[in-house]
Amino acid sequence: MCLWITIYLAIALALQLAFGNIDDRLFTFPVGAALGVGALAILYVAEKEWGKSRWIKDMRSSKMACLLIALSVFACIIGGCMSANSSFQSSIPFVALLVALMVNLTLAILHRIITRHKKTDWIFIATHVGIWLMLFCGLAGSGDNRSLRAVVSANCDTTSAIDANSHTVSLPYTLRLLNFNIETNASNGSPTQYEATILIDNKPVEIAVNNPHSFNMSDDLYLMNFHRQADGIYCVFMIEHQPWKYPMLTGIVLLLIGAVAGGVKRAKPHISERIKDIDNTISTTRV
Amino acid sequence: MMITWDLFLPFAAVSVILWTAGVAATFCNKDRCSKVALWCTAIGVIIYAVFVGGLWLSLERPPLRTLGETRLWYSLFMVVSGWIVYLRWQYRWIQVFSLIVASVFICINIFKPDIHDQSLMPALQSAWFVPHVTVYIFSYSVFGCAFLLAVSGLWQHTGKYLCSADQLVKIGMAFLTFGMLSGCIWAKQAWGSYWTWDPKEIWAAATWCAYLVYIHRRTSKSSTDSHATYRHARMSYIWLIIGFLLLQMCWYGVNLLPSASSSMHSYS
Repeated sequence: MCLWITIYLAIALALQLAFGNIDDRLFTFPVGAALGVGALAILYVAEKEWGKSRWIKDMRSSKMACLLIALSVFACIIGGCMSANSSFQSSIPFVALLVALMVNLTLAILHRIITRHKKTDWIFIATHVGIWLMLFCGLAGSGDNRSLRAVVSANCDTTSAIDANSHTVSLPYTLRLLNFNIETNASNGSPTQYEATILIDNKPVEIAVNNPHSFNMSDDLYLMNFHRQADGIYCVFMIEHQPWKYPMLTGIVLLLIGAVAGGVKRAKPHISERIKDIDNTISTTRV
Repeated sequence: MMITWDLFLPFAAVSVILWTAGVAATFCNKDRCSKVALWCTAIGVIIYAVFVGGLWLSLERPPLRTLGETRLWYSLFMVVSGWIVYLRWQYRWIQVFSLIVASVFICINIFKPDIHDQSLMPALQSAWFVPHVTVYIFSYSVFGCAFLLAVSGLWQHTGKYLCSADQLVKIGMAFLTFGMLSGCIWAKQAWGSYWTWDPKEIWAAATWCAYLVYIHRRTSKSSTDSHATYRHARMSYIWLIIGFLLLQMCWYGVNLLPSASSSMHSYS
């Protein structure tokens, strides 16, 4: 098992050296979603038809989960030591590791559902499906996210925004600043809260930090910053397009429920029995 | 009278004296939990909590922004967690260590209090601020106790602390996960994305995964095997220690890295 994982990650590392980081635009809808659903179908068939084979058993085992999560810890330590603009999360070995984790997770969930495993409980399903959804939305949905910045003032209508590659993008609505309020700290003058009222297609909307405006199921408008110029205030708004927002939130909620329920659930007696076993074995070994 | 940082020393000194008396009383009364010990610790906790509450009022914001302020909560939670572990599993020694850890953090706050200005930046003015940080700090204190058990288990070459560590990790993980996911939801509200692989988030993911490895090791078939040896227990303890070290990195160690300057979590 370790050998296969080593080979798999070595190939990923070689691809990284040859091609560099993954461009997440490759996974723009429907490619990302199709790949995800296709992989899910293949894994379902694999679990259903060859669920008792050694390969599939190894791939869904707790041992495999331990190995992959331990490798994720190692990857995060490396990523944490790298500079912030290195985008380690888009590197091929890290994405390959997450894909392997998803395969392990998918097979473990499918096995519990298909075989109606005696240990299956709703806490297991909630936590694992929650993590699965979060990983799936993060991987398959990464290409669909788009972030735009728009500078809005009271002087004229804003009809375009700038994307991450500094390209100008036309907006399907107009934005104009109507009012801007700022509260400052009396001791040092730093802003403690600011909010803006803007006209979106001539309809007034109030936006503040931590209080974005939602256009629809995938687009939100955020007040990010402001600048004072001689001719007035200029507010910087961020327009976030994230079509996987709600599936991701569902994953978060499921994991949250599972984790909290798991924390308050009483331990099964066999855990303490295990410790007795260990201690007995230790004493036997010492003798 | 307003409670400010100037009053920290007397409040902390009285609390530490009471906690020390409480620990001493538990060692004097070997058979069962001493009422004197319980009262001393409880009054110490209340006095310390009064200071935290008073500081909250005088700052006109929750004292959770700077490292110094999080140390304040950690020392409080560490004593509470140490007591919970003692009451549940009767490990007297864990109180001594939790008291030492709490005292070290109190001393750091006395000698290096960091900044404690009144301003709270706009992004931090959210209903998620208090639950996110306090829950995280509480989980840190629970994992602190698990770390002490792991070190003790390795020192004594025994697997007998694993059962208690399992319980602590289970509780700590519930709080850590709540802290992390509440942070995700808050980040979406404030910055537009649930997860941005910010340096702090990367270390938080590493910490969470380390404890996840521990849980998977402990629930795997090999741990229920009657032939499981001390080697299995030792590796589990090592993962608890790795998790705790990563937690320290996530909490304040990340600030020492060059990447911290670009972190969205730099508030102090």
